[in-house]
Amino acid sequence: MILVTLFFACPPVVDTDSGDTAAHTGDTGDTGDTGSTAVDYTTAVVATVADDYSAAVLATVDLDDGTVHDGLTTLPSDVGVVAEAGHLFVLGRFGYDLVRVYTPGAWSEPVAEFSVGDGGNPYDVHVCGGSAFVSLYGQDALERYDPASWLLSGVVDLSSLADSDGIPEIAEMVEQDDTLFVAVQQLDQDNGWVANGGLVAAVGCTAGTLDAHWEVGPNPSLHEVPGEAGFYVRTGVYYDDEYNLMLDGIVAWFDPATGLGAPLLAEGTLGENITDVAMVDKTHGLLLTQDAASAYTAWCWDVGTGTTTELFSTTSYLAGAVAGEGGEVWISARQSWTDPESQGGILTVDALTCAPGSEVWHSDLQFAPSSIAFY
Amino acid sequence: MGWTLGAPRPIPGAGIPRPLWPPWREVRATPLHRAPPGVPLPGLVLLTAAFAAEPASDTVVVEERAPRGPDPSTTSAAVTVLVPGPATPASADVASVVEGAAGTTVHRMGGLGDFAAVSLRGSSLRQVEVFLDGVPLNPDGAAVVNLAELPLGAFERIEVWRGNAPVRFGAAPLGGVINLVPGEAEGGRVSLAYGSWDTGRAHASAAGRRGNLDGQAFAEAFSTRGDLRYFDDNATLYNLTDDHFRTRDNNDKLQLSAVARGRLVVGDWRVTLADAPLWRDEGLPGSANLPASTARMRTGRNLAVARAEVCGPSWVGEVSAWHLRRDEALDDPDGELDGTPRLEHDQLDTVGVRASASWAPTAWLQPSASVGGRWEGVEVSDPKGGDDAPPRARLAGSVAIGADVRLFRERLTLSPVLQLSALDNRELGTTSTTQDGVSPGAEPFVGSVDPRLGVLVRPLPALALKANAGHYLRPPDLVELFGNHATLEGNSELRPETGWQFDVGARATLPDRAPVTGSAELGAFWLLSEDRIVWLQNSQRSFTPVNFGETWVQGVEAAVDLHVLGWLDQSASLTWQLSRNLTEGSRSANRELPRTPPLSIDEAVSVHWQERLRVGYRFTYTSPNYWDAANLYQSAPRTLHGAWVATRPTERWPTVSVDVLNLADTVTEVVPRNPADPDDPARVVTAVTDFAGYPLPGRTFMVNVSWNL
Repeated sequence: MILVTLFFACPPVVDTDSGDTAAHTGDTGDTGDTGSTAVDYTTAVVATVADDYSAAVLATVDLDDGTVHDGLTTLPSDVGVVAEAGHLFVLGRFGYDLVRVYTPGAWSEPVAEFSVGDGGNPYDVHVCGGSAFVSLYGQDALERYDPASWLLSGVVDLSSLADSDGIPEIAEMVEQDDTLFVAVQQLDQDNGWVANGGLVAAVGCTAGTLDAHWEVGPNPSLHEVPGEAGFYVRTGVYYDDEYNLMLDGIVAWFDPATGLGAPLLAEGTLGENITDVAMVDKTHGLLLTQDAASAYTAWCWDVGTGTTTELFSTTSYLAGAVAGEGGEVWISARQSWTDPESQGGILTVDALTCAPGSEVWHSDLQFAPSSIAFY
Repeated sequence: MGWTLGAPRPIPGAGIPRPLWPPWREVRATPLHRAPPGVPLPGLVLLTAAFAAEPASDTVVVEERAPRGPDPSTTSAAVTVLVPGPATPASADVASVVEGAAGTTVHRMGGLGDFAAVSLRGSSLRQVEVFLDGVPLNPDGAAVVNLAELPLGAFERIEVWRGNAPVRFGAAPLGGVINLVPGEAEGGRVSLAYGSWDTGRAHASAAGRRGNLDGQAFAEAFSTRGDLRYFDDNATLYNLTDDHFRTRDNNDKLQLSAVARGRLVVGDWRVTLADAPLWRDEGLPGSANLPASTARMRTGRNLAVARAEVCGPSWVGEVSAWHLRRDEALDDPDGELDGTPRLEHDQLDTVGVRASASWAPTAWLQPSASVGGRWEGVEVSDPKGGDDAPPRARLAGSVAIGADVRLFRERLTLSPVLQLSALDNRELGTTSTTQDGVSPGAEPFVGSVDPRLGVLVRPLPALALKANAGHYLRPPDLVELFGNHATLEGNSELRPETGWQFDVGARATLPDRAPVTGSAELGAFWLLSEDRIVWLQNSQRSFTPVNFGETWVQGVEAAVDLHVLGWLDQSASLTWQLSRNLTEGSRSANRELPRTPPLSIDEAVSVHWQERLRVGYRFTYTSPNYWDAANLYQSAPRTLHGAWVATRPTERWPTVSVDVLNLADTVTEVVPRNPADPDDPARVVTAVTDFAGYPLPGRTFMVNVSWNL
């Protein structure tokens, strides 16, 4: 009896600042209407993932009052979110290989969930031509789904773009006039993921066929500019075989009619790897860079003047940046492997006013953000 | 003093408390002291120094075979001695036997032959040190010992020390010690088994002695296709239309293992040479949602031991040296496990030496000491990026001194221990990311002083009251720091884990000659850890170790072992525990610790008729437990029934048995869809697993035939 009594003695508890209840993040960095973007978002959706990638939950931030709703539903723990055509897509990546389709605001369960097959590793989703196209990083095709039933309605074969490992590494997609422009990274998985080329491919949304492709440089990523005919392309690998920084990357404008333009910015200029680009309009954006010590820096980039302005540096891992409204850019900051004390959270900056040191940290999420989308 | 090999012979001299004798020995002794009348306690120890009030005598008063293994009633430590015997199903393995002890939770990655490891009292798997005949297979928790690699038939008994382990192990694990003791019996035995999934097992053993030499040898071959049927939800929690059953491909195994030991007695000395090789070739099936069809692992292991023991008038001493080598070759040509093709070769070596001694200078005091050191190194070739990692090594040493102080006619025994441990990390190298010193290499030397105290009170011969407290240290092992398999990724930033463990308990035994014999145990335990190292499964179901901050486990363990009227054997154990992450500021604070099920139950019962026919039943239950620190993902409860029947019509006949594991074919359970949201009423079907993505098998048949030669 004594033992049982001892057992039932409540274990100790500690104070914690975490919680699943709504919390206020404070100022979200509203800078007023600059007229620079045409978007009108109400909510940021944040996929938050534990530092060890063992767990993930969905959170939202109300853009009007900054209220955070955390722990709305559990997610695959390697995840991306995409807001598209009135849906919120959750992409469960390698090991999950699934897509969930939510109606924004109704988080108790998705309206649809489907597997893209073992090892499919969905990277991006885009709705055009009446179909939802899913790019599969682990396969050699785009899958096409019918939004009415969310059943597979077709496959766009991109095997002809594969490099020596047989997988083309299909990444971001940008829609321009019923054509999907697709980043094809062509990394050689059999040899340490070294770059084997790098393409932008054009896929007709209606016909679902590969129409053209352009060589753009190694490891490309595509960065959309709202309302513009064209998009930015970032290229470049991060390290050489000796894990030395490779400053071979550039950012250039891609015109669907003429292809890739001249480099507008080179990594050599910054002395660091460009890891992400978020454009709030055609001439203003934010760059994330990584140096040899794995410290990250955020820069404002004025394409018109060709100038870059350092905003801040951090030892946190800046996983990505996405343009919001009013010139605001949201950055996902996570704990860095090289600095276990580094902070995770959402960073908001104004890419138009571009005042160094004006970034705002929001770190009251259960986990650090991994992916952010707006609707 | 002398060692005996042949017929027991009297040993002249002073009192020899039983703990001074290696527990596997058959001895006759001439104790100095007679047992006091009215204290019908069994065993040689009770006739010796403890009852010092009795006058000394030079008369041989006892010739008795010493009981096998430690007597749980005469040690303060919580120990269970498991002896595989007629009441053990023929299909049993080391893991299933260990699971029968209180305070244990076995975690499996599949069926027979698949990875299995044990947690003691809510410890992590590495906080349990496994010894083979007193030699550590994972010193300081270096790697998790896969219990499936250890052939049950080679062992006469398995000692499960929960918490405070004896000084002679030179170990201070947070969870405890499991000691596998090879058999002593002479003669031979051959056994063949075959069953579901083309699982086959054959083993042979032989033991004999000639003059001053004796030897034992055991060899086993095990193979399985492992193509079990399992439930796959296709990772789509909300989409039930794509749920289906699949076959576990690439789950075959072939394992050859042996344990051999030879001993020579020369005067007061006994010299032992032993070797335990293992070769294992297996397919790696990957997780259920990320299956692999071509990935394979080949493992070679060899443990070579040399030991010299000597006994004096009132003391015994022992020096052991060993070399443990483990080679693991992972071939994942298509990168199925984590997306990166690999051809890796890991080689881990441990060279160790340990000396221990125990002394009985007086009737009430028995000091003991142990000192040892080891060198361990790891070489990893073809890691990520294609480059070979530099060899890494470290030195570790420990000194432990302790004593058993037996007072009040052995009604009170105090067992204090002080252990000093040191690590030299200077050869560990640097991290690949920062080039800084490897943690704990940031401190080139790590030292720890770890006291322990055990108290045993025996108000009645049949009742033992116990209490233990101790401080423990475990450095991260080389796999935890530098592991680079596709499914095991090291973390070079890990810090050593430390902790306190406390327990209290009571053990009651029934008289040996009563119609009902047996024992009952009840205990409570607390485990408070700092920087606990927890292996978590990431999004790709790979395992990565991380440090938690402060953690807490408390629980109750109980066991009842009964033998009724000579025809019914029953053993039951229960572990009920609460765990909590007390890391301040952590987003996972106050959550349960991963893989720490609140409730585990094991019940085994069998009835027999003169051992010519035996029918048995076993039930195990493991309650749902969380896989992640935030307690968002929960395993299904594991409720398994098993039954078996064995017959041997006469002594000349072989024993034939038929076992059915998971009798009810429980491979799925209906569980809450969102365990983190108690308001969500939805339920889903999920596979029964111990590790996410590694389904357990359904109904399994095994037929076994064995002969005693």
